[in-house]
Amino acid sequence: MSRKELGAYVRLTGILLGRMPAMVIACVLEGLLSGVTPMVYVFLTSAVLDGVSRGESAESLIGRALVGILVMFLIHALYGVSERMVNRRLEYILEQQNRPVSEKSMQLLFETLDNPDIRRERDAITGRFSRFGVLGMVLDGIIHLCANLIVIVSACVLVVPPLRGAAALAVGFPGSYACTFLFLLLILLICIANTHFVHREYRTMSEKYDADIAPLDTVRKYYLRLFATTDTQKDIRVNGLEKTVEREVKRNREAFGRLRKWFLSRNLRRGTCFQGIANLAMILAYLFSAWYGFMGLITLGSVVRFIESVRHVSECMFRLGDSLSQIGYSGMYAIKLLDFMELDLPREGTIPVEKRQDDRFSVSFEHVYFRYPGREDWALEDVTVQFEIGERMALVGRNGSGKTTFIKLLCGLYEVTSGVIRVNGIDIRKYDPKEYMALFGVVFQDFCLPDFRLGEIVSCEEGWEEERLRDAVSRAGLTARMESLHRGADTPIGKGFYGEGENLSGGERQKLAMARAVYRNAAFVILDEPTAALDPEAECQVFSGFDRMVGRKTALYISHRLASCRFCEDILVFDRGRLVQRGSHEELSGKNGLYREMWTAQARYYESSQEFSDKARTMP
Amino acid sequence: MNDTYGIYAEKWKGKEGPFAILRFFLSEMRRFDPFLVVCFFALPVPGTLGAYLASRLPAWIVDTLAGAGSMKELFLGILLRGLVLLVCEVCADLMRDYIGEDRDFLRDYLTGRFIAHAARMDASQIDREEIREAYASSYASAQNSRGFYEGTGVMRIFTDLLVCLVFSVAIGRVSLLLLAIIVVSVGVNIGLLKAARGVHRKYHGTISAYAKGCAYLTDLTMDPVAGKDIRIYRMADLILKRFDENLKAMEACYSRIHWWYFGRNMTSAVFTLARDAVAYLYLISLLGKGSLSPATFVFLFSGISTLSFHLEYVLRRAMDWNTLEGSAAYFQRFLAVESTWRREEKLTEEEIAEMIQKGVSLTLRYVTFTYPGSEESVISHLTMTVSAGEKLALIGLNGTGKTTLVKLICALLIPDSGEILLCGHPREDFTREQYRRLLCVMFQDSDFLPVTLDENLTGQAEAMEGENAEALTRALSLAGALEVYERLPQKGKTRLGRGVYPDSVEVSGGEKQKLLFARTLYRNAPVTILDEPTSALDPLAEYAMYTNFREAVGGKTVIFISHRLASTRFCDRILLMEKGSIVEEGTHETLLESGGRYAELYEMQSRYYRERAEAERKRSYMEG
Repeated sequence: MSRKELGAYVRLTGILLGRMPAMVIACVLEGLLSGVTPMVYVFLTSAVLDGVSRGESAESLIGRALVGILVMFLIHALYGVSERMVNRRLEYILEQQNRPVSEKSMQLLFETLDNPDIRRERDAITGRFSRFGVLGMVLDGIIHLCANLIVIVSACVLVVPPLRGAAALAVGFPGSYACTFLFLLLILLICIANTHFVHREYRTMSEKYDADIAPLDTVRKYYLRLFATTDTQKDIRVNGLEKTVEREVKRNREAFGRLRKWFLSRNLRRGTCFQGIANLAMILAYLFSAWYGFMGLITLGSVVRFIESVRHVSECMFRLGDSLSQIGYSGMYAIKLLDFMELDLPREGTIPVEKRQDDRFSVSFEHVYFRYPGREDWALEDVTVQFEIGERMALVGRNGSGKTTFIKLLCGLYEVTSGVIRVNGIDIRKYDPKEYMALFGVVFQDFCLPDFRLGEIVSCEEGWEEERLRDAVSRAGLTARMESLHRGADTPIGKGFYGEGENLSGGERQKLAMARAVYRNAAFVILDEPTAALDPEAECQVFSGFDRMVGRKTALYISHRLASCRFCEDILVFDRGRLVQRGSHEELSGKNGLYREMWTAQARYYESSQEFSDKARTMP
Repeated sequence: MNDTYGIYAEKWKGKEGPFAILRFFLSEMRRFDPFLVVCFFALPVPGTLGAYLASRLPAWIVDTLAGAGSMKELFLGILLRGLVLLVCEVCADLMRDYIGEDRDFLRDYLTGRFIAHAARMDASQIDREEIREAYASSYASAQNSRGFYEGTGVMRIFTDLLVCLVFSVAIGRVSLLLLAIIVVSVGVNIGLLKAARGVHRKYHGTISAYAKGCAYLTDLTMDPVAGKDIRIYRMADLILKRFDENLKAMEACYSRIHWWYFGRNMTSAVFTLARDAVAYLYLISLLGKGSLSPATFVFLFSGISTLSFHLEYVLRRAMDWNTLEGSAAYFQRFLAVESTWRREEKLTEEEIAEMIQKGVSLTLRYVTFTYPGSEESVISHLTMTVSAGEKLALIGLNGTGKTTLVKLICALLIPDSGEILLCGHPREDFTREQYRRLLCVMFQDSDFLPVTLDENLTGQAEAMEGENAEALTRALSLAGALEVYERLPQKGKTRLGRGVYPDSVEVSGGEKQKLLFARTLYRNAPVTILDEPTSALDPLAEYAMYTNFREAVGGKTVIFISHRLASTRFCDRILLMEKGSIVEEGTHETLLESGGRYAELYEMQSRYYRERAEAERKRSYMEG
């Protein structure tokens, strides 16, 4: 356990104490009480035995016993109370922890989110490894630490009195304080050393185990998920890839087997050493107490008491070591959690966006260069363009030419690597990010609809305005479908959150995403391949409704279906990150260039001649 | 339901009940690790001996001291017993550790077993009523070793049972009443625990729904795909509100559950109080009367708590038996399912080769299919024929059942009625391998496995050489994927697949589609179905594909499914599907002439291209 881990653990405990003080106190209480319980039995036994050896009457013995039992009962009862206080929150502590983690995740800069290392760290926090997450580990650690501390304290208390009595009778070294003290010290040292080495070994083992098993488990889960439903496995079946799958699974299994062998053999070694030494220490204790008893230095009852307390000390040394080890391990995860929560200071940018009634904004890209983090090639290279809001623009180009990147930069999801993007003459980095993004209603090619109720998916808030919703839905062509749902706009879509939603087809989902963009009533409407999943009829609906949908706003339209450029006065043509052409359809199709090439390629097949069909069908 | 295929193998029929389950569980554990099973049965020996000696030794010391033996006797006795105790403890501990550390590995074992068998089954069986539950439960067991891990816990009962036996005898010899009290108090404890757990189980469904909802949101907030929309549409508030709602609901549920647990704790405290009071009073009175030596008193005293502890442990673990039984029974049922494909060949190699050479026709007759649980049939009385070597375009709006039709043809689903024939032979005439040789499908949403590109394309792990390498190159160039292939840093040796291995390379949507087409061409099956093969391609790539299409597919029988009606221009015949059956059929020209649905759809798509073309023609005419 390193200092950093301990520091993180303490810090996290402090935070918990601030947020849920009752819980932390209940944990301490539960720990103390659970630690005290076995000790009371020991006290009781030895008290009774002492009484017997002193020749007390049965009544006084019974009296003493009853007192002890009542104390036990009280402890038991109090324990029940604190256990309830702890457990009922502990059961869902993972979810409680993930709430602020989720909130933080949503506040991160988009490019941080896109970073696989950060995602991996977050996965570690959000509970892949334990049901109770980091906070649960921390609280659990507190409980155990308190329990163990109390056991140690009471064990020491148990040990002292008989030895004190012994010292009074002693003559010379054997019975003196020094001797006893030295002996206890010896046992303590053996236990501490034993515990320390065992736990250090366990910690090293665990770290290697965690690191090694994660990639193996990823592969395992991947292949298992392939067989979840008929749909997920159809590709394998039809292409006869079962052999490949089996071979890969077998290879993975062999790696698992090797890890297991390693882990078990190390574990065995560790266990043997530990138990062996612990038992040797106990033998020493037996010998020592027998010796003292033989010499009459302690009463018979004390012999038992002494043995029991040495056993307890040895056990709690181990458990203390366990606790410390656990604290170290939890500390490691606490570091991850705290680091994650402190990522990304919020961007500056506070200028509110000017509200304009005529929705006329001007946008300009000035020598914009951009490359994605970790990549060497430019996604956008020296792009300079200016346009006014209120226009309709189409972005066309081959796959990977930078169209979607252009949009992402415009929306503020990424920052340019060099160059400037201005809206109304002001660098967009200076605007308040929330207000700026509110200017856009976007349907990305890989859009995401959360599995909430339909109305909420469209409005993105709790509740929605009826009229506005109905309008947006009708413009997207989804009214009939919405009415066919069993609860209309109140129906959950998808099974991820509510567990019992209705499923929409790919095309319907695309329309829903468009309804969302319309509802927003933002100044910019951006549609990225909005008809990719739609059949001809639905596609036609979208095209004819596009005007209705967009109204007076600025529309940016990306599509491979060049027919969609019909309602766009302005077309930007991208090629390998550069803006190569700009103009209207008439201008561009008149010139030689990429646009004409693409247009011709698509339009050919809609020629109506019979000869064309014959030729198409008889090509070699 | 079609029941011409036998479902359960003989080895499962009639073998039910706890003993069969236990035998099955032990045989699976033996396959996993035989030493584990040895530990199950060997653990009781050192375990019990150790527990017994540990409690006996202090008593023995006290006894010997009281009886005034010599110091040498004392010391030797302690050493001897201590060493035996040491050996027992070490062995027991080792074995217990061996059994207890296996959750992750059990999961891996079960996954391997599950996949091995699932791969052998045929996919059409998964949705059948009798098999669905067994499949789902076995899948869950493979996911988190459910049932089997609890089973290893159950096996540890044997040790504790023995300990209980030993101590029961020892205590019973002194006082049967005492024994009875202990058993009763433990029984009450367990009864209360069971009741509390019952309450927990009742809420389990609701709680896990809430937990799943929270997990869904947690994953959503870190998903980069969702992240764009979350930021732009400011969904954070809504998401957090829903999260908080769930947390509140979970709080309420758990609060209720834990009142039960609390009640149980309190009641058990009272019972323990009573038990302890009676036990102590009784033992002390015996001690007072002198019928009990101090050593025996000590032994019995600790024996009471040891017995209670172990007995409670046994009963607790025994409650896990239910989990084991459920999971193991389903797993056994799953393993007993046999594939419905025929095993011996009915058609010889020559016959198959002849079929391939002459070309294969595909016929569907009155095929009807309804998804289980649904009321409407997705496909109803569909009849169609594709002759050998014909290129057929299949058009239809979303939701008309095209994908279902494809799944029926490749035997992923079994039709409720009607037949599907390849060259006049039904599915039952073919073995699985033969059927695959004849039919290949390119799905719209296929993904590559996390293995090398070459292996993804060809199914072979060994290096490509000679004929195979040539065939691959040919397939790649016909699919327009050669450039993609060459451009990759390690070409065919590049490992694909997203996020599974650190060295995987991701290919873009368009590149993937071209490579998938190359895979289909490489497989060279006489019947090939292509489902939206150009959806991710840009206009130029799409054009290239259409131009190369006939050369690429050669003489194969092809069904081309697409929304882009441009694709129908190079197909021989067009079928239009609506509401699960074929409504129009013909060539492009005849369908346009008849002015039906196809003509309508074509008009919708082509209108703009033609409008513009006409406008241009007009303009150039005007300009002279």
